[in-house]
Amino acid sequence: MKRLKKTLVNAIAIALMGFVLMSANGLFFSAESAHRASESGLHYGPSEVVHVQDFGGVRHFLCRYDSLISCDTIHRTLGIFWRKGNHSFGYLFKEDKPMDCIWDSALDKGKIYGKVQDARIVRIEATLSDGQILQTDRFYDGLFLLLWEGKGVNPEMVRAYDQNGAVIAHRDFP
Amino acid sequence: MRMDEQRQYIELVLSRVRFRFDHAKIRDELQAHLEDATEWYCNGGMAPDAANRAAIASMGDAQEVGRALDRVHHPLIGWLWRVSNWLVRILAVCCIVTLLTGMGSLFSRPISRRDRNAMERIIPVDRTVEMDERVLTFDELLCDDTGKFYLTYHHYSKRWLGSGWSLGTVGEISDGEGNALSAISRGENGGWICYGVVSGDLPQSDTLVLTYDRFGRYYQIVIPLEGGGTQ
Amino acid sequence: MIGDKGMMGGSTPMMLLSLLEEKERYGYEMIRELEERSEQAFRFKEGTLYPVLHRMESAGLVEAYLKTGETGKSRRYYRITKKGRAVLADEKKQWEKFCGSVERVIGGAVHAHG
Repeated sequence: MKRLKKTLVNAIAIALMGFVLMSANGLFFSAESAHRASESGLHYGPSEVVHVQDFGGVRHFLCRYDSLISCDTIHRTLGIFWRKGNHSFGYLFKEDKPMDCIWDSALDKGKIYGKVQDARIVRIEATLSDGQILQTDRFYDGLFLLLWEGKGVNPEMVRAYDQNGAVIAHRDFP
Repeated sequence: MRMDEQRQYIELVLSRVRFRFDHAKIRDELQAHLEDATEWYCNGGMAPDAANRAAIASMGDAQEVGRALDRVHHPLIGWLWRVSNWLVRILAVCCIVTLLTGMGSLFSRPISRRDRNAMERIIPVDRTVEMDERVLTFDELLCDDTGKFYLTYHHYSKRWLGSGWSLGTVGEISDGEGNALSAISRGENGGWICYGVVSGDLPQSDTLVLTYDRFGRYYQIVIPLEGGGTQ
Repeated sequence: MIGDKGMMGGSTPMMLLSLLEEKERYGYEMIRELEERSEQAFRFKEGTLYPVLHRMESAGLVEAYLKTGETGKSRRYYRITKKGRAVLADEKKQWEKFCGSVERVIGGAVHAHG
């Protein structure tokens, strides 16, 4: 009983200190809260989350705020916590292009995200510097997301295809 | 010979007690008991070996005693207690470190007291704006004798114990006529209260305007450049 | 009623607390005292004392500490706590009630038969 009581007191102390440490270090129990907090911390948003994708222990939030598109990447820390992300800011894609995109990477993971304006586009394909080919035919409200793993790898070109395999648009990254 | 049998008995009892961390205390207590019992039988006239065996016999079945002790020294509660003790210690250290580093920011200023006192003019600003969870206060506009200005500010987060993440820019500087001026922002990040300064060349106009207009957030601080004396 | 069921009987903790109320004692001392006072009526497996003592300690009825005697031998002594005193007083009251009831039953039979 004595030990049980001491253990319960310890548990309360652990919960309180845990709360202090989480607040002070920007740690959250849910990736969504971490995403919202990192946006408001940078005075951006709150954006509308269009699509969420997990990849290699990291969660990406593809969002739209006004006409800005962002892909906020939230990392897991210490197993159960999510950390405030970077890349919360949005990017303004060119309206006059049938497809526009940008890429970013951190450590050994990277992402390409963009917007398609042409209804003919059914598939996006990206070629990376290490030979990897990524493709997707999924579009979320006109937005797409491609993810890869590999250190020091960057995309070389991105192509948008229609259903006959013709290239509608492309973006090269020199 | 005598000690071996007693030790054997005690180890048999302990073999039933799953929580090993209490073994030492139990062992000492049972050992003392057996020694006292042996002494009592010896004083009663028994031979040492017989006394030894009588002492063990009057203890009762080792496994039964062990099982009863195990119920009191429950391993689950024992382990939870031990782990929670360690966690409390570790977290306490982490908390102290976090609180100290948080407090450290309170003492660092981008413009030292001495430099401030050496300024030609000090114009009080004292304007506060709130943006999302941040409370940002512009303190003073300092002008040195080389035509440069320094706008000092500090901010903190309204979130409980939230530390300031990178503030980035506090706004664009322009003169009273709408001409943009180049300015450099410098601030401390992290900690409870962050101090920063925006510096640049003083314009000829009679006002300095700071405008923040990003992502749907807006504020404007107009600072008259007249007045403001030295210390 | 407190007690380690099946081990020594429900009244044993009460007797141990009573001994400790008078004086701080160590395990073997309590065994010998119980035997003497009960005039050999209470003789039991001595090892079973310790689970009871440890349980009482865990429940906060007694406190344990180490004391070195004159011979240099270090023993684990037990002392009763405030909570232990309260529980002992309560147990004594219940025991007296129990005894009283039994006596009335027996006494009643005596009355009935004359």
